[in-house]
Amino acid sequence: MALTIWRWFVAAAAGCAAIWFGLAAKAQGKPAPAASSDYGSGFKANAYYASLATIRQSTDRLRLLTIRDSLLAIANRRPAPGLTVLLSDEFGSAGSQLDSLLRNRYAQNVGSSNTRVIVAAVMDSAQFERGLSRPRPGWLLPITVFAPQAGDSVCVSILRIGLPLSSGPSFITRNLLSRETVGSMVSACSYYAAFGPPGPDVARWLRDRGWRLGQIADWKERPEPLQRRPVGQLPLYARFAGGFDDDSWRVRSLVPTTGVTCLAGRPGKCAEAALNGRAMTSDSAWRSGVVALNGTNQLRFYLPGEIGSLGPSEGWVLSEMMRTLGPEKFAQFWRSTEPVDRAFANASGRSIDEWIGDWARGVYGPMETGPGLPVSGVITGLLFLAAGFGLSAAIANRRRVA
Amino acid sequence: MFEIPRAFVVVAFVASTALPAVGAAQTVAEYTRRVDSLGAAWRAAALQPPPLASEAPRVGTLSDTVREGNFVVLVDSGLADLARRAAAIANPKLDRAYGASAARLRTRTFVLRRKTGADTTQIVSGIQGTGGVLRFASAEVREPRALANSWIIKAEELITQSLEPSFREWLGAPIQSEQQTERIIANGKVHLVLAGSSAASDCANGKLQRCAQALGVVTVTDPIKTLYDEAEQRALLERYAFMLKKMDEPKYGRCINQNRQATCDSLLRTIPVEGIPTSVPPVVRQNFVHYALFVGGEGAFDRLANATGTVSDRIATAARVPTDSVIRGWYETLMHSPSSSTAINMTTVLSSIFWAMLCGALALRSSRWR
Repeated sequence: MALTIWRWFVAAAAGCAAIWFGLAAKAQGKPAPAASSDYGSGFKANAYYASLATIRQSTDRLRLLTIRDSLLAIANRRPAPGLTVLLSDEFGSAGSQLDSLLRNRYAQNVGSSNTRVIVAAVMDSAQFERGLSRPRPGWLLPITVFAPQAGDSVCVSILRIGLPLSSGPSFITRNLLSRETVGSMVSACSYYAAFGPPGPDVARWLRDRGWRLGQIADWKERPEPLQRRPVGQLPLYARFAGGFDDDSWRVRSLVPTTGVTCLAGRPGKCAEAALNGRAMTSDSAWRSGVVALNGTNQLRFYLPGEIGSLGPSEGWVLSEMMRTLGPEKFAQFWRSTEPVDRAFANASGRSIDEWIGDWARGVYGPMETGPGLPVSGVITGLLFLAAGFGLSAAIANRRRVA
Repeated sequence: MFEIPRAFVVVAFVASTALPAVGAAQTVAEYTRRVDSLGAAWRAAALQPPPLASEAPRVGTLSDTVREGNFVVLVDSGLADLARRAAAIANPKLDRAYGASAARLRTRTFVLRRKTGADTTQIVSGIQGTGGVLRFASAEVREPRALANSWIIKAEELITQSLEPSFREWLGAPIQSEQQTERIIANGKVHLVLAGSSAASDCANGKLQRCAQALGVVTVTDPIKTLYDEAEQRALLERYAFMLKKMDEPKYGRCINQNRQATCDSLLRTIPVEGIPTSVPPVVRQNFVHYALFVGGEGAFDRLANATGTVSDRIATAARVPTDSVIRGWYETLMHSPSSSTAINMTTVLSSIFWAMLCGALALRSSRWR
């Protein structure tokens, strides 16, 4: 039977109809699973841990406030403007080294100031507070900064350990005395001491990002670019990248996509990386006056948390702003009542997008993005193209048509 | 059914209490009130932690407690007698090895219970940890001597953990309770000779100063250059080739391919201290400490546990002789004692010849050869 156009059309229509109705007809499969009988126990589990987490957070904060008040009482015995360093005996010989590092760093950053700054390192081993359990700090070197409030000019920075330093692994002392830990201990207070409270938009910008961009303060020396440091000398937070021969891919494993587009010079991306992003909106009352930071610790190395848009060195951004702009321009930016990008542009004469881009490329190196060919690839391709044309033309010229 | 609404109320109350009013100052008084409110609600709800879904073994609910010498054991019903007999076997060995320090075990609770699940004839023992977790869990045989051996191993681990952390870190292995035997001596000799560092080789060849360096009882300022020769340093570079190439591939090439020693030295210095392997394995240090305790006699472990200072100071305090003397004695025992021989003994030789000849004779009597 010949396949005429009509027969073909009918067969195609019949086939489509069969497929359509075959898909539309739903077979009677397994009945829907019954509601989980563990729903009740699951809710109870969450209720237990959720309540416990809230209690432990509150007891930990109560403990922090108690420590803060104790430190203030000790410092008030001989009140004096400027820096006061208080260290527990449990830090042993490392305590005197830490004291020296803190004083040097603060002197380099601030010099003299009327703001009272108390920087303390204490052992906090209590596991219960008013009969309720609380987390012990362990070896993560948490740093809590109580910023000066209205009518108050005291900034208190507290680093805690949960056990005597002598009972910890040997690398804890190295972490404690690292440039990053020392910088974190004095960071927030240095800014308050030197420039006073920040303008509302700058304060919100820092607060909503948990001070990620102002974690470390070292206003005299620039941190060495990451790509030029041997792996063994990298800060712990930058040492986890590996497995690539090409440096650009190593940077891609350190810096998220937004930061990579900034490194590639895409307009507006650097400002987006610095100013936008997920903001912390919960717990605003506590965070309005308290900054939670961390010193160098192994957890940030082996299990890094959320990586910021500007990579592992983003904690240096604010410090580098201060170092490159100078105290007067930075103070103008810091105290401005305008939005952050406008405040920065007015103070520095450059857009924040441009400045962040230059800073990021200085730390991580430039980056190329997109599917473009390198110049050598284009030239090679053109040469082959020309050679191909030439060869085919030569063959065609020798052809004779009988 | 009744607990679900109560849990809901607790969560709601906790959540509302935990949300501070905007603009509230951070004061001790405020947070004291908050913590007290939370505590009152928490206690009133009396929520229990849900059962963990993990595979970690649990202590469970056990009824009896056996106290025998250094051991405090939580036991399942019907296992008390087994626990008591096992403890009676283990106690003298631990007292002999650790002296008064063996009593520290009483601060830890051993557990002996039936295995959970379908087969309850199996028994499990371990150490009670926090949160009801069973640490060092192991399946056991219902035989007092075997159970005692298992508990001795656990006790060695626990007692070693009670030592000062830096000493523990140096040692890298538990201090054994076993008496000095030929097997232990021979084992130490084998591991020293096969350690694979020039320091260990020099030590095995009689250079006692190198023994002190290899064991780590003296401070070494440049471990790589001091403990390893050039061939071993090169092996170390090749071991870290992946990281070193990423740092500076041309430099690595100049070192490995062109044998430029200065370049290799520069690369070696980039290896972090914690990346340098120890020149002798932990079993050699363990052997050394074991010998020091043997020399120190009664109370040696107690002196070691209570000593302060460097590793060398602690060894000398435990042994009651200078560390150099301990090293000399340990070396002589290890390398030159008849007990340390690793050669095949005559019994093994004769039995091997016998069996070889027997198998050969049987093969020759095979019908195939007729």
